[in-house]
Amino acid sequence: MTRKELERLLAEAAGLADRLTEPLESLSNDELDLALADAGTIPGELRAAFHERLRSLESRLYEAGKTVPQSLLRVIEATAPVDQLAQTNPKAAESRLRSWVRGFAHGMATMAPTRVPEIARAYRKTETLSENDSRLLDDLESELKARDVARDEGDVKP
Amino acid sequence: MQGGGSKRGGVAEEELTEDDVEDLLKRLTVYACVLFTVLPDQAREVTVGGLGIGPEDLAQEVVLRFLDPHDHTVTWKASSGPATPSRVFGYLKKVLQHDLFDLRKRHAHQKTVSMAPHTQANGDGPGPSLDGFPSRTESPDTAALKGERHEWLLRQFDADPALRELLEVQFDPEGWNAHTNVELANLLGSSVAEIENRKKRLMRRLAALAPHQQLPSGNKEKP
Repeated sequence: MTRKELERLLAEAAGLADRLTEPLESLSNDELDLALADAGTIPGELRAAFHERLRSLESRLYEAGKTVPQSLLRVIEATAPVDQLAQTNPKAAESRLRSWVRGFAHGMATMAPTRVPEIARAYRKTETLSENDSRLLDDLESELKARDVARDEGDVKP
Repeated sequence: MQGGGSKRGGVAEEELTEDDVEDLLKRLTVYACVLFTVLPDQAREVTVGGLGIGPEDLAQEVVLRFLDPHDHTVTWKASSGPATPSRVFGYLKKVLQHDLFDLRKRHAHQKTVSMAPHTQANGDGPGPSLDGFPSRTESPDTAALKGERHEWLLRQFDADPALRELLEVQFDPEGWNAHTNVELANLLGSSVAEIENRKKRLMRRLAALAPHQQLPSGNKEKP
């Protein structure tokens, strides 16, 4: 394949991606977080990774004796872990926590970096649980564990 | 904020907030996922498998360069007007495309066997080469690569005919003459609201098909 052909092929792919992501700008924050979660990216992890890179950039600028712009410092502050954010901007921290709690409802947020989820089994001790419900809960637990293990092992679809 | 500090001279302050920056990063990441998914060649093997670069990484790199006051390769020009989130997003999408394509082309270049240029009959150096002219027609290889990719994408939606038919018309909107949501609704016998909804679902499913690199450890979710 010539360079021209390759360029044309890539340009066509970009055009297709542009058409297919047309709704992206109209997504609400929650919809955007859902889209990210579907794509296998936990929004909180993305923010944390980006924060680390911003801190590295800040360090590089300091080491080079250059001024770190206020705009960059504000982004670093805004992407900081919530306990740090609570000290500098309590309102933003509260908003972040609300969003995190909402994430649970959509299955986007996780509590802790466990490889296999620990499922609370107390419900099994109640006598009100029917056999069918018990089986259903067992199935859901197996599915959840399998999905989590697959994600951790990078077993994502091609 | 100015987005990139002093390098963006002329752009009014307070056009992008810090929340806008995080929002941009998220949208750009979803965009990168879809772009990785639709690439018609083996870019996933090159970027994710070979170089360890995935959509999240590429999106972060682009936003970081935009914010770096001393990186003048990603700069919002005052002549482009106010740096609104929507405009900046459009600009960063193009930067991301170029970054990804540069990676891909560099890899392709490494695999290309260089041919010695032909010399003219009088021996005065290289004669004209067809490589210098833009190619208007597709070679069989190119068409096959593209066709294979489209078929693979369509197969992912075998169980969801509504999304499959929407995807198919997006491959070649010229051929279907359906560019707007109204035209798509007419073509597919649906409503505009349903088309908008389907487009969102299709985009999410395509993003989910993208290959990923693991984010660095220690970046586990915290509120």
